[in-house]
Amino acid sequence: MNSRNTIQDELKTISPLLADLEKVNVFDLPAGYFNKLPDALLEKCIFQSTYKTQPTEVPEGYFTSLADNILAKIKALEPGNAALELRKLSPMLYALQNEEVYKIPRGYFENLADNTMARVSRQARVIALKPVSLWKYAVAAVVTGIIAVSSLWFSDKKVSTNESVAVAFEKSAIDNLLKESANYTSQLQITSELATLPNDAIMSYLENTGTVSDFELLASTIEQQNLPSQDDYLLDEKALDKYLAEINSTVANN
Amino acid sequence: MAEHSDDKELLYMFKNPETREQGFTRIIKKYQEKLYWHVRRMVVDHDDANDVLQNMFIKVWNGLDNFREDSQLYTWLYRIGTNECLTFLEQQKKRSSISLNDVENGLSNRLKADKHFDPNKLEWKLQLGIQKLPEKQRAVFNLRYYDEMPYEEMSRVLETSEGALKASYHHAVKKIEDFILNH
Repeated sequence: MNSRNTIQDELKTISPLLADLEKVNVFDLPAGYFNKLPDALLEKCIFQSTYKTQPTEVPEGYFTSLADNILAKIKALEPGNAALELRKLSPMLYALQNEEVYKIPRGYFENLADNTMARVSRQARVIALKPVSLWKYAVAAVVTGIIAVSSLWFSDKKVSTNESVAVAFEKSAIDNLLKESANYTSQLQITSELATLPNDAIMSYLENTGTVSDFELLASTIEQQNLPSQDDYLLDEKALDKYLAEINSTVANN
Repeated sequence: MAEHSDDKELLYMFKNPETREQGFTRIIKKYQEKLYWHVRRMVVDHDDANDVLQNMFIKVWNGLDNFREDSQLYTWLYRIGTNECLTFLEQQKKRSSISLNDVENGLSNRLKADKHFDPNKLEWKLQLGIQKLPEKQRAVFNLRYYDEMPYEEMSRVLETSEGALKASYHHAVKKIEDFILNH
């Protein structure tokens, strides 16, 4: 008691603030900790001393459970025990880990899949249009050739309607194709049909029919004064679109 | 005096092979709470305190046969316990390659993470102030403030002169007071 008073007086001399503070224990303790501690410690001490005095012997069942013990320790280090690891490293961060500061729009995750699929579909549609360009250019090349040759023929020579022209492509085939083209009045129809054509077929057609000219059929469908100039065909893609649309509507009406 | 004779009886029981375990158990039961709280105030976390305490008593088991009784049993026990705490904190520092300041901040953070932590309460401010002290000075403050240990005993525990301990304690008290007043 004398010693206590001395220590208290000493503290009062140094810091009256601390001397007046009530000594409150702020730390928590697991229930029954001190009841179990002596037996647990004794067991541990006996185990380790037994192991020390008989170094050539191993505790009973040691190797039987060794694999399981090692696996348990490995699992304890795995990401699944990240929470325990964090708690040891930084209890403050552990306490904060469920505090979410970022906000997201309501229903974001519910709609995410649908929104993503819609975006993918729009992209796919864009991609599907590309082969049309190739076909357009191919047709532009063919038609340009036809018009160029036919214009020469019409300006320089008299052609009998009964005269047959040595062609690499049959007249009936052109008829069928032109008549069939009337069926394709929408972009969607053209696109879906073009998707079925292999590139080899297009190339083969171009090689075989580069000089096709059925002048009788062309003459009946082409209004010479309405033809765009050759330069327009080569420079302006839309010029060909308009011309082809006009041909289609003329064939359809006939 | 009564306690000292009691300690002698415990030592006798321990040194006798037939009563060794019984003696050891009684030593643990007698000193476990005092030693636990001394360790806990140093390392803050219960699991760490439990590890340190167990390591400490294993050393007691292994070394008690060689105890020369030139000091009291509890002085010897406190010395082992304090050394175990300082070793533990040093290992923590090395393991995570952080500076002493970071160790102190780590302990402060552990306090702040306690579910009962209240920065407005003086007892928590006191703990935060204690954790700001260097490890050995923290031990000096705790032994004097909480365990009311005389400087003479403390010098045996910490193997430091009484004069140095007095100075260290005075400085510790002033530092903690300043911390409380400024936070």
